[in-house]
Amino acid sequence: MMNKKFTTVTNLLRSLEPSREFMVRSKQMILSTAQEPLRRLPFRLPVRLPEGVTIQTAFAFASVILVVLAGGVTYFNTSSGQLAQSFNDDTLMQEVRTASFEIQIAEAQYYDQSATAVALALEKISGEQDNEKTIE
Amino acid sequence: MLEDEQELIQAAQHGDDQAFGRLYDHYIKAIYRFIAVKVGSKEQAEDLTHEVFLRAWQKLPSFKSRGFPFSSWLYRIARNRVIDHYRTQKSHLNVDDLVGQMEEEFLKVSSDQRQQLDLKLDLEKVMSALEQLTPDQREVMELRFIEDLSPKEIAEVIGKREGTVRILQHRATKKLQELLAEDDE
Repeated sequence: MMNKKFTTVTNLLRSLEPSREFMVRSKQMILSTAQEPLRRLPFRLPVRLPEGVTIQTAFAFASVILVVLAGGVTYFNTSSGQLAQSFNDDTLMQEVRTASFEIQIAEAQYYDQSATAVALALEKISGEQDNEKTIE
Repeated sequence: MLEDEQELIQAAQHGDDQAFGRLYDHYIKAIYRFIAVKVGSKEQAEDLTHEVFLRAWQKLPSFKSRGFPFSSWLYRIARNRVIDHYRTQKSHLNVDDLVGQMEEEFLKVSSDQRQQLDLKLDLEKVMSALEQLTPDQREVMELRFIEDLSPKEIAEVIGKREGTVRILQHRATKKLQELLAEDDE
């Protein structure tokens, strides 16, 4: 329940109105002015935006995403030296491991081949020595 | 709200000046009153009202109702225009100007009511009590009791939730009753 004085005063305030001359003159002046043409976008979005989401909001979101992407790219570019180094380290370690493995295989092959040759040579030498002893 | 308001809006959006003329005739007094209560001076209120309807006419092609009445949009334009006015003019509400506008109507009320009310004094008391509310509370009270808008419409005009409007109205009513009761004592 509102105060009686407040109700009476607000009822009187409701009676406020502009002069008749003003209303006629103002309307004529307004209607003699041109309306602003509706600004249409040069393209239509393929999806329907939810109620309350204006085209401006959509562009604002797109701008934020672009800024985040640009920031990400900049971050990777500035730290690319360190990243490249870490990538190189890994590659080098892999190369080292592979090289060592290849060396070990090569050594095994070498020893395998040379062992037969050495055994034959030793056998030959020992055979010659036996012959010399028989002659003596 | 006008019966064929949607059709009138659509026609006016396509440049139909007669359709806009009908919308103008229907809403001019409400918008004028909304502004006059805030600025006091009849001349300033008329100038600002003219600017509101001129802007509405010019911007109408891009208007979208979004489920709210056309009047909410007009009140929003008027509200922003009054805010701009106070930002640039740095003036205050002149109660004498308001009394001058209300005197003619005051003479129409019954003699009993006239005897109970000292127009200038009581208007000053009510306006002073409204001044003591927060800007949001005052705006809600003016829109509710002078403009007769529903809480939902007020929410749309001032850009707040309907629940917030109801809370603002409740607090403002309580505070106004206290302030006006103090004056009566």
